[in-house]
Amino acid sequence: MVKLIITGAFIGLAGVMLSYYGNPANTGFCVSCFMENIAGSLGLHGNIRMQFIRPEIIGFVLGSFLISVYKKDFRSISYGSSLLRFFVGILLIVGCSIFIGCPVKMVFKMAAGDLTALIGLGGLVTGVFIGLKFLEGGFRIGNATDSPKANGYLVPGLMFLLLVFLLIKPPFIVMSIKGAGALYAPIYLSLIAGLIVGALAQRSGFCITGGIARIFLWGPREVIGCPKSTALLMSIVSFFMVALIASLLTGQFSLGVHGQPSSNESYGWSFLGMLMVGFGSILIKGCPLRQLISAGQGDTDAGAAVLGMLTGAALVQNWGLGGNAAGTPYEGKMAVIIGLCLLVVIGLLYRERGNGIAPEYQTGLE
Amino acid sequence: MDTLDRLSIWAIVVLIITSFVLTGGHRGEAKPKKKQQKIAAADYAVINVEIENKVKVARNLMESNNLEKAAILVKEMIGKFPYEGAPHMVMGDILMRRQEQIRAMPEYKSAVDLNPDYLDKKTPLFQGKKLKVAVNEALDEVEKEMKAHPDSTSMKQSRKLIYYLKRRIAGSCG
Repeated sequence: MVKLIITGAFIGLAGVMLSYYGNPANTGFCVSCFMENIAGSLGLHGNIRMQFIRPEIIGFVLGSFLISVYKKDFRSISYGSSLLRFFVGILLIVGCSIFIGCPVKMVFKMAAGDLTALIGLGGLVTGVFIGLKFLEGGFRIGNATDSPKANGYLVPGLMFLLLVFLLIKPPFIVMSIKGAGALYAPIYLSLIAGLIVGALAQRSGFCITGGIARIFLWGPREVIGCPKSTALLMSIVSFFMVALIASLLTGQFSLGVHGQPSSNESYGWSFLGMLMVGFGSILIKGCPLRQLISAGQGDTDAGAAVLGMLTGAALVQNWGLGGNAAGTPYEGKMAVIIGLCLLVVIGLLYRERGNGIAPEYQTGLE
Repeated sequence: MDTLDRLSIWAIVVLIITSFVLTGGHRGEAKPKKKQQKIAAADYAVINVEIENKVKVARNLMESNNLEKAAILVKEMIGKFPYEGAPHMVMGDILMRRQEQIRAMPEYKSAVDLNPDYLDKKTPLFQGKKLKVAVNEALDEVEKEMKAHPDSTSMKQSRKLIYYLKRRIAGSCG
């Protein structure tokens, strides 16, 4: 339990401090925003304000990789659903972009006093609930089987390559000189924070959607009796509380509905965007942060989800799907509806009717 | 086929119908007419210098309290360069000088929509602090007006616009 509470507290503190030292407001850590930055930097989209190789993402994966190798936890595995997870990875980032932030950023927004983030929380919780209904109805992504060790090194290797690109800045890598992409905390600070978060999350199994899922799985009373469930929930609470205190102390707290960073008045679409994230995250065993951590410890299907998230980030920018201060564009609304439709279809197609929760979800539920 | 299957199929049907409704509504929306203006780089540089010079003149007029003359010059610029943010920014400043905070807001909106650099700390054009003060003053005015006229549609629209500007000033990761 202590590990999880420390993980949550560290994410909260480090995220607020990174915002304080230069990251965009309420964006100490945001998997979706940072994926869009990385996609832009690699030339996958042309938004000149969204191009930067974010060291935090590199840190998440490499932190998880290094600690799992050190603790002999690293295991190259596959569930045989790489393409499915690649595809759902795309949908996760689309959903996040509608809300303007991933579940981690949602907590930072709430901790900074943004009351509109509560709508996102409602959507996320609803999505988790729907996802669990499919899990209880026999949804399966396959058994974990060992795959060649080299497969597990691919995503950490990719992140290492990105780190090299970040440090030597070759001419084909583009970095924003203005806009959100140009707002960043000192690189070493972001990298260290990312590495520590990656390592802590790997050791503790921190996952926002996983924590919420446990409330529905066992009900509030049983959750209190289960140490891991209690700890997962406590980690989210410690994340929020520490971020709240840090936001207050650093002057980044502003309670209200209007005029909040990374927000708009498309409340219904924000709700649906996060619903899509919660639903998709449950189907593929974890929120966007969890996918990065799992990829670092050798889960090749999570690696496919990471690549899917990168693809989704490029599509969001190229197709103009993301929400902005003015609201949710038509293209974004259609993407949410189609995305939800596809998730339901996936839920139906991958069900083994008559069965309960599949074994791959019973271990950890991350 | 169990309950979850049936519910899923209903959800898909509802989502498909929603997408059709959304598409129907979207097609009915009037789209702003965009003039196809292709300007060569060299021409743009000339235009840029012209705008800069005129903005300078307008600002000098404003500083010397010739607000009417400044406004005439800026209106002419807005007609001539409809896709430039600078004239709108000057017009917003002129209106603020005239204590017309609420009327200044649409001008500031046009300015930051046409040129987001006005809200970008990393560029020399950054005017976020000034805009923040102006927006807060305008919000105070709107709230006063709304107390007197709670059903005023124009004030509600102004407030919506001010909230939009507040969000733009607060920033985003996108």
